[in-house]
Amino acid sequence: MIGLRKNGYWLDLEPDFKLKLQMNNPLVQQDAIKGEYSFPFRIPASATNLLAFGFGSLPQTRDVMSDTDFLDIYYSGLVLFAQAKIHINYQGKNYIDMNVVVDSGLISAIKDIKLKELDWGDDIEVSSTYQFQTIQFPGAVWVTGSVIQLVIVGYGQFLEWIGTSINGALNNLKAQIDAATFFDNKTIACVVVGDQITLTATWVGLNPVLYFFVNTQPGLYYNIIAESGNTWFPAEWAAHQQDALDNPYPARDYIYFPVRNENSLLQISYTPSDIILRPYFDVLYQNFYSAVDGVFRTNYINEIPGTPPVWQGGLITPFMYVASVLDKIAAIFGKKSTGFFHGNAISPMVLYSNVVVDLLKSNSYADSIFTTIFNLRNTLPDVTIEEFITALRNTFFVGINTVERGAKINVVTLSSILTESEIIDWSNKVTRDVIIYAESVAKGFFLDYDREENDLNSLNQKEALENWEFLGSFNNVADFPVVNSSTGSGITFYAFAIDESKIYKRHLPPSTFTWIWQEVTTLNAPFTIGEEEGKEEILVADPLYTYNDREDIEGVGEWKVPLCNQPISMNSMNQHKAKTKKVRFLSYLGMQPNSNSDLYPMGSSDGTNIEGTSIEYDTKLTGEESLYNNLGKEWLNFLMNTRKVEIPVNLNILDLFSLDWSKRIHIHGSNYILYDMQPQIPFADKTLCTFLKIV
Amino acid sequence: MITIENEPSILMTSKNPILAELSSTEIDEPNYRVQGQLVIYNADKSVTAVLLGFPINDRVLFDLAPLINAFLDDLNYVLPDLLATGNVWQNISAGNSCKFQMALLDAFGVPLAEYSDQGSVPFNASIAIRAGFAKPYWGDTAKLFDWLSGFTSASYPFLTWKPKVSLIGENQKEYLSYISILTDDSATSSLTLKANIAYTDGTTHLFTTTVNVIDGHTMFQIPVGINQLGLNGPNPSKKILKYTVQVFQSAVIQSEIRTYVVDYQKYIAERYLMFVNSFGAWDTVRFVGKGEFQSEYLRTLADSYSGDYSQLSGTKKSISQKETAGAKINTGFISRAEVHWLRDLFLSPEVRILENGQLVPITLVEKKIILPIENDVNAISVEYDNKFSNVVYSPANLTTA
Repeated sequence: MIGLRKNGYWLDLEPDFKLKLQMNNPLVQQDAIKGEYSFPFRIPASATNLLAFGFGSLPQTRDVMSDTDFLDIYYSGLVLFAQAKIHINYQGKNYIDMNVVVDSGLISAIKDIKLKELDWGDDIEVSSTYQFQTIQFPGAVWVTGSVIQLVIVGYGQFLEWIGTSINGALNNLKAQIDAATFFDNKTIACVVVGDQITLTATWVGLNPVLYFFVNTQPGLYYNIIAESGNTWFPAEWAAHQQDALDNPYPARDYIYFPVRNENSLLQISYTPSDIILRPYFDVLYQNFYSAVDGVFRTNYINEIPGTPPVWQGGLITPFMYVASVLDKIAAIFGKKSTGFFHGNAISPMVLYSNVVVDLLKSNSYADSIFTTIFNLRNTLPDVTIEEFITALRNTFFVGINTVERGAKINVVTLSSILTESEIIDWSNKVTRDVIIYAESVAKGFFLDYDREENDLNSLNQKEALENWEFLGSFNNVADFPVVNSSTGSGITFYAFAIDESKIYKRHLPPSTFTWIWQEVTTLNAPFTIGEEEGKEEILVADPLYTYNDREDIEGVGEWKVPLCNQPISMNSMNQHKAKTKKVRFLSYLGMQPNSNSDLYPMGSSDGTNIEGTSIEYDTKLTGEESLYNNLGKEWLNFLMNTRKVEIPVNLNILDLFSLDWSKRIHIHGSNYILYDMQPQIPFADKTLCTFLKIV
Repeated sequence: MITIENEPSILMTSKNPILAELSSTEIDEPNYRVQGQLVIYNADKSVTAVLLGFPINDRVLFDLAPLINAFLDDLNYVLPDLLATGNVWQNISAGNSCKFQMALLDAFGVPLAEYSDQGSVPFNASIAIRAGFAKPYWGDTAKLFDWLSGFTSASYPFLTWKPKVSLIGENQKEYLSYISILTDDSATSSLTLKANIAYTDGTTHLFTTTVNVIDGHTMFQIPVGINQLGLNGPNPSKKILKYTVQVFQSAVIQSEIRTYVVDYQKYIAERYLMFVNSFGAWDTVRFVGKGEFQSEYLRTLADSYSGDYSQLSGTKKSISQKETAGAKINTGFISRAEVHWLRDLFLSPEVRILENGQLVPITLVEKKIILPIENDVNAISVEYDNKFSNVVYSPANLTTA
């Protein structure tokens, strides 16, 4: 017995009313989230039905009334589908035409919502108190009676200063600093010991930007006689490191990541009005590592070459866990998400963010110093839920399965379905009427990276080679020319060669007789498998490369951080926002020590940690531990080799209530995956089901 | 706040409503719902179904029966063990019952048991047997356990609607099914079957089978035919007129009395149909009337031309030939009470005919039976087809040299 309930009314149905549904396995669908829907049906335009849909108040009219609404579908007294979306077409006749979009997992109902539009909670406030470093006043330039000025600089600009006469005792300066107020009501505490003065501000909060120095001649930078240490947010990093250690994945939603972003090396120069300073170059990184201090700084300011660098800060970059994003999607329906990304506790996947967290609350320096806020929303790529899920599916060869009628959103690796999933026996539910389709599900696949304009490899390397100078290009290594010596003197030549998918380089120095071809890189040309004709395209998320060079800053212990090429915006004080439009992933290996034993959050995209030891997943398509080798190969081969088999099955209500698309179905000696089915409610003796044959 | 108004009892029937009913004060909350996470299981498999419940008139009602019945319908009935004797009570629960348990979750998947204002959630595990009672004699909220508990121990029923006194053939395989509610399903009890034999010479003998230790809430099948119990053993020279059977726990009666009157009349043929009754237990019907064999043949031919035309080789060949056999048999004279009981046969999902010591699956083809209501003596013809086809022939009795 089927019942449709709308607005508290049980709808009148025709005798022997039947609802025919089309249900597609969301795991097997490669392109989009199809969902489940009914074939059109008709119900009588009875008074109850008109009332239920709000047509009752209409005057008699022949106008077309079409609408979209929701109703609950009951079967045998149980809710079969809750809040099914219906399309109604009533033309003033004695019937109402409608069809229903049902979805036991409900994902298709929300697929067009943008990730950023979900409820990401309140702004996150990062704060810590800051203690200024001790200033050592050098005795040699200490002039009794001269004028001295305490200058506070922040965000590259002058903030406050105190001028005073020095009477030979730092205590005099201390007294004046004690008496001074900053930003209307803030004070700085001073402690003087010998030639040292220690300044502490408890009100600074997380302030990565404050810097101050003591000047004997106001307005002249080169008269600085003492200066504070750099200010950044070591306290926050320390707190974050501790938190990341105490609360490993998945207790946190995000992790702060150091990022080497080639495109964020912005050059900014400025001259504060009150003090004559030489122009600075701001060389801005996102959380770049400072070899000098052994911590991550958000950026640094390089002065004119030849002078010591002056550090400033201001930027942190949170990367969300993929698992947390899935949780948030599931939470729309009050559900949980489980599976691949949640179980991957050794190297959880994070989502690349190039958003430099806006540390500046407003244009007011005073406000900005005290708080640091950001919202997780802004760290996400600008994609819809469907695009996000498609990226997950194509990159990791996983499927989003809504088990237990949507109570859980479970991410399963598709290849595991073939060998590891639970088997249900339907042998006693089928007859021998079987249709086997000769055509396979897929003929071949064409896998390519879904690149964004600024991605490092937006030019594939074959294209990039056109910009290089060639000595020649050769079909394979064996054909490389034998060169015994170079006649050049003091000139460096490079030779490049391509061997199928790899690019080789060799250096042609003078007087070198043994030449070793060194592999530069593997071409990431589109990756194809299967037959040439009829290939289906799968766009894999562009891998986020990691950077583990030490050339950038001298003395850095070796480390591995994300490397990217995304523009960020730093053009005014509170404009740190940037966007990514495509989804990219990185393995997070936890807080790891570098070769200096400093902890830092390690990311990896090449399947190895810093020691070169293999980790679980390389986020690239090719290579030993690549996504294709680990996750994709078996599944894609299956799709190319399997056949569709159509079998009428004697389905019952429990089969629909306990439907789990990821389970294998055993029928008379063979295992299958359910591809789609067309159940009729109430159930007919035979429901036409299409399966993909596994063995 | 959720209050539990009605929940399944320990023992339920799957073909009647199994209601879990809650009242909710959250009726005004739009889209408020509770979820029922129902786990149905037996020794072989477990299925989890999630039920969505929305308050309607402040009530959330789950009827678990359709799902549990669907689970049970996928099980095969345990066939009666034809070799079993009175000492062996055959456990037939595996094909006839399952356990189920339901937890209630709020709309966010949090178990309601975590809330302080809840009743007894998750519901205790219950047992459903593949059985049912017909309307209008059985209410929507009636529960098997309550019904069984209502009997005095001397009237506690066996799971059959067969008349309490019936004729039995000398070699008839007869079974009584029994489910004990003395203890819960985790505890056992020791029961005996006592048969009180009345001989034609007016003497009697009390025959006791050995003690059977059985689990509570488990369905057992007790062989009670003359040979199955070995009733001729104690006094081989005497002729049994009739006998009664009854279950005891030590000296305490734990069942009704069933009486079997032995029919020594010789018939041309004696046939036995065994069917699963409305309790999911096996009953035996004796057919002593005339029977006729009937069968249908289906043949498929294909063109077959080998190049040379020859009448002897023909131009067609047989691809397949199939026989679906069946028979029409008659009960002989039976009582009015037995006629009504046989409606249970016609509604049975599983009927077998005893042939050559095998239970052969058949399906009844009758669509209608008509008998005068007032007749005391009746006879019913039953027509059936085998549930399989043959492509080759063998005689009924395969002998070896």
